[in-house]
Amino acid sequence: MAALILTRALAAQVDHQLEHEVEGASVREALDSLFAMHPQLRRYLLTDGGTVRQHVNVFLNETLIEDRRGLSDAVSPGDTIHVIQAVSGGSA
Amino acid sequence: MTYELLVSTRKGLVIGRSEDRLRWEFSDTHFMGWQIDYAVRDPRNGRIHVAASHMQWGPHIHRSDDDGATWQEAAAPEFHGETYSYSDWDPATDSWMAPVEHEASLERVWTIQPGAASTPGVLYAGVDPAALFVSTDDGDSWELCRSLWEHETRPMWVPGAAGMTLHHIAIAEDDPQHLYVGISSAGVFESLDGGATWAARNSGCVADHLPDAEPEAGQCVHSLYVHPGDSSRLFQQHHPGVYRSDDGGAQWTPIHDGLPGEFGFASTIDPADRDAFYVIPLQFDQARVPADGDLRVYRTRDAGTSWEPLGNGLPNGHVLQGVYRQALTNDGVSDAGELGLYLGTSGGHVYASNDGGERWAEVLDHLAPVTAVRCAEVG
Repeated sequence: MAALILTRALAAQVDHQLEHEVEGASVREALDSLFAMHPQLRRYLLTDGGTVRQHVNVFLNETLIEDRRGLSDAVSPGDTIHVIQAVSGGSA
Repeated sequence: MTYELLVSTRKGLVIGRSEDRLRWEFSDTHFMGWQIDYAVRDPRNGRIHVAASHMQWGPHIHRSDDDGATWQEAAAPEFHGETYSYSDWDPATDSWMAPVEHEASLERVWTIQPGAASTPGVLYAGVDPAALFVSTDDGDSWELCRSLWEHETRPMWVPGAAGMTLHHIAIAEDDPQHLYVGISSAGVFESLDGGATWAARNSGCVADHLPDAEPEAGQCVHSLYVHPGDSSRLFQQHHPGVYRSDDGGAQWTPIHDGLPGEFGFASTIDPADRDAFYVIPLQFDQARVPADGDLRVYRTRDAGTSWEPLGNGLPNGHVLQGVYRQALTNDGVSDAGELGLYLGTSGGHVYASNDGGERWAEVLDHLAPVTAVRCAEVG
């Protein structure tokens, strides 16, 4: 079991629940377990090709994941995943 | 009669209601902070479909069955790993370079077109990267129109400044299987069999951004209409020209003589008059602000033989705002001279006319850039 913490803007899509318990040995599996509970979140985080959206960042234990396309970064029990929108300054 | 004006902006959707089509009451902003790429009411069942996109959260479709009181997120088209390729022109060899393959991912939904009255549940979506999606269950699911996606001219389709976009879909009034699409920068395509097969329909159009000025595909159509009273009569605002076709798109005739400029994006028709067409000329093509500095709608009533400016109530002088390709529309009122026209500017102003463009009134201002306006009678 790992903890997945959403940014407030994303949590608004799931009754403002910030923290979620997820399962899986990789970021892909952890996100899939989140999407199993909240399927509407998939399109917010991933493109229809399955890649993390350009302006979304996924941190594993406060470090940016390396594999934004395959989401293969390994997850261990007790890990914490943060999903946060990127700072996209300069655009009105 | 009650009319509804859907104003899509880069920061949200505003819905207006009016009895006389000049004095409007507007809602609070729906989808605050989201870019609304298109909003349309399906006249068959009253459902409002909204294409929204967000820099962080991507493209989404929402819908409402209660005039916008509540919204439900709906399915969006998906490419499921499809790839596409396109070529660039190599001036050194005066030929097309080898196509480069790209993985398709939905960037934006540019338009949602309800199907014909005789095909309930059918919706069409035009998207970036350029593709047509079809729904037969009122938007619960979407299927890629593969025949257009894999069209033989596809390598000649080149992305424009707004991406590679399928932004206009037109259905012939007398045949729900007779479809047209407008794609930038690919051109006009026609299907006579409900999308099973497609033919490029760009003969007579000039592509001055290409070395071959009259290619079969690679043309940059900006807006496209089939007249509901005569499906052989088409109009388009092209990148460097305004064109009319009298034979269903087989041949296009330039009709921009008499306009202050041939460049523009937005256009609309008069459903009661097959010879009427409205455009908003912009300076070609680097400035993209109104020709002569005055915001003007130009109207022809003789199929493009002559044009007249319509500017009573529109801003004069130093106008540095344009009108995007879906931000001019009509309300379909069929009584001659009573056609309602609506336009929204890239500066966030909305103007309305209830007399065919003779007089305009500003009905909304201080918005974000207006991406689309659509008006319908709702009761």
